[in-house]
Amino acid sequence: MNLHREVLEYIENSKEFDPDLAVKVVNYQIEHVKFLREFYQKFGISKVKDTDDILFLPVEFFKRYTITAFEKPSGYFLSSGTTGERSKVYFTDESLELYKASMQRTFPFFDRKVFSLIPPFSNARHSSLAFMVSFFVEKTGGQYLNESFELDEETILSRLDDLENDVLIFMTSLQLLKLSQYMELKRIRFRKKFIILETGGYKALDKPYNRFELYDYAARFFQGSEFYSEYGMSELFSQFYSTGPNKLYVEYPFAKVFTEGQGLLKVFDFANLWTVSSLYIPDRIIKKGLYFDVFGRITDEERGCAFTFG
Amino acid sequence: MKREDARLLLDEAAKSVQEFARRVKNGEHVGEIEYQRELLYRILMHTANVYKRFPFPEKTGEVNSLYVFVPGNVPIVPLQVLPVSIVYGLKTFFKLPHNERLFFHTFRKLLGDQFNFIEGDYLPHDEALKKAQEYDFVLIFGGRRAYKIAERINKPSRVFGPRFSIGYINTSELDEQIAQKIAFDNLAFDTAGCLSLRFLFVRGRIDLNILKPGFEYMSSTLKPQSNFDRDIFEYGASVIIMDSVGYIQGEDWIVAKVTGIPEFWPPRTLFVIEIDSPEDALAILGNLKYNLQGTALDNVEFKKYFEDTSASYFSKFGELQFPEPGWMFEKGVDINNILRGVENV
Repeated sequence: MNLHREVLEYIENSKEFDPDLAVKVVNYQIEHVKFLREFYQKFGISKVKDTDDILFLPVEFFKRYTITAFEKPSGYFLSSGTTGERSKVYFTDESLELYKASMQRTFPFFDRKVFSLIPPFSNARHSSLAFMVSFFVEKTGGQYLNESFELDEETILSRLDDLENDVLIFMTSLQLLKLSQYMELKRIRFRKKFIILETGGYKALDKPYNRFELYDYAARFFQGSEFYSEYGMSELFSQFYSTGPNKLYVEYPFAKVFTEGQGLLKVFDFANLWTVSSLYIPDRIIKKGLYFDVFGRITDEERGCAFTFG
Repeated sequence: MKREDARLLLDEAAKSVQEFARRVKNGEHVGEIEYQRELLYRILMHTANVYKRFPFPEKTGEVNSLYVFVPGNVPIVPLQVLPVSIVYGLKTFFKLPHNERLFFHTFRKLLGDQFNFIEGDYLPHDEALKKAQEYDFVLIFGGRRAYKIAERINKPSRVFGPRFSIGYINTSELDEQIAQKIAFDNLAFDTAGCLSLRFLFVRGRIDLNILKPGFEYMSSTLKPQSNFDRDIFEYGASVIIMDSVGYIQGEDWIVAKVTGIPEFWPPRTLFVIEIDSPEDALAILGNLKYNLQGTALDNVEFKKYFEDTSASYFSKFGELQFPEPGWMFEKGVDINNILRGVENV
């Protein structure tokens, strides 16, 4: 069985993290992803023997280098670019197959219709978020409520008003904030019971929020709704979902968080077979058991970029 | 205040700083952050000497009170500003960072009642801006946020913005003794201070291993401060090692040879850049040459190469943290003009 098929089946069926398969995947990537091979060479490693040897690649590099095992990718996703340069993540039908398999296993809401303030993929061809949400909208017989990432609050609210109870609505945290601010201004309240699933992007907000603060604020206007969260990024083909309203994220056997306790996020994602599975992401997290919470990206000053004064 | 009275106060303040230094040396808990004691002791003793030789302004102006936004990365700044308050006779308030108040308060207690014109505390952002309105002049230390604060304060003010320091040396001058001094300059305050050495420009070619014994020794003396962020260090190290053309590394320090200015500047990291001429150094720095604070040189004659930069202080290696009396942080700023507002910040 080729490795792609093996990983696909693993994503579909796995119950626990498979270290042997992880090692096999990493060695495949070292062999086929030139940039990763050079990264390991810098540390004097040509091949890994067990998971302790695995290096986690900083996601920064997706902004500056071509990181793919494909010789001829069919397209690429771009990161949202809220902090300047944007990451480019190449794909083909093969890698999208793993992406979809991961979505199929991680998304907890196939039992209800998905509505989206994220535009359809046909309107945002380089957005992995739009690709993912389109998959859910189509699978559940849902609908798009928005044509772009921009927000016409009045139109959106009127469309939300037409929805029935218990549907799921995908939106970015920025969209949730803007809608809530508009509703506060216009003294609008919804009492319908929606599941609101926000997709992060806190860096774009006009002031620092943590997600629970945002939910507390939004709950004043979306009364009766429950707030869930999705954590993902273009560089990572698997997503993480909060396990309940206002609850923590949970890892999966095929998308395992290696950070223990407090630290920056280290994740091993089998769905990233065609790029790099072991990624180092500068988001601060706390993890306990299978659960973790994300506290946001390290700041420019922490990076040293603002070379703070002494 | 009469000049004689101010001189007496400076002498008294110097005694307090010496006592503070003694407590640091004895291992007393003087701050919320655990600093590098050897470094802090030396800086405090140096500061006491600076007080004794501190210059007086030609004339005092209309400024009677001073408000200072203190930076979060280096605790010593209030002690560097204090003599300005003394020689001008200024009622002064230091707005302290949220993560370090004890250091100032410990020192303030040592100063005693005759310094009742000196106060300081942490205040939330909006409150801090409001209180600043009660003072005649505002000094703002900090990174990029400092400029935003200045925009919001409708007061005569001066911003001391983001700065870093460099070194310049010929390969032939590099030996293990100099390497130790380079390590001292780099590891001071975990490279977070404006006078901490970030970039070493080496004219010629360098085998980084010549720096290794110096860094190994100095990293055991200047250990990481208690607020050293190992996560950022490790993440940054992964980025830098890939971007470098060579590196040496210890448990909590890295020296990386690079060919340009990296995006990520983690703590306890020295970037070494080989050049053929001083002009190369300036070309590589680009506009960052206007963010220079200090420049360490092994030969004072090299100073002329860095005159078209913002560097306000030139020293030998190992002495970047010890500027002379009268150094007022920024090029062109002295005791006579420090309290003149800069409109275009």
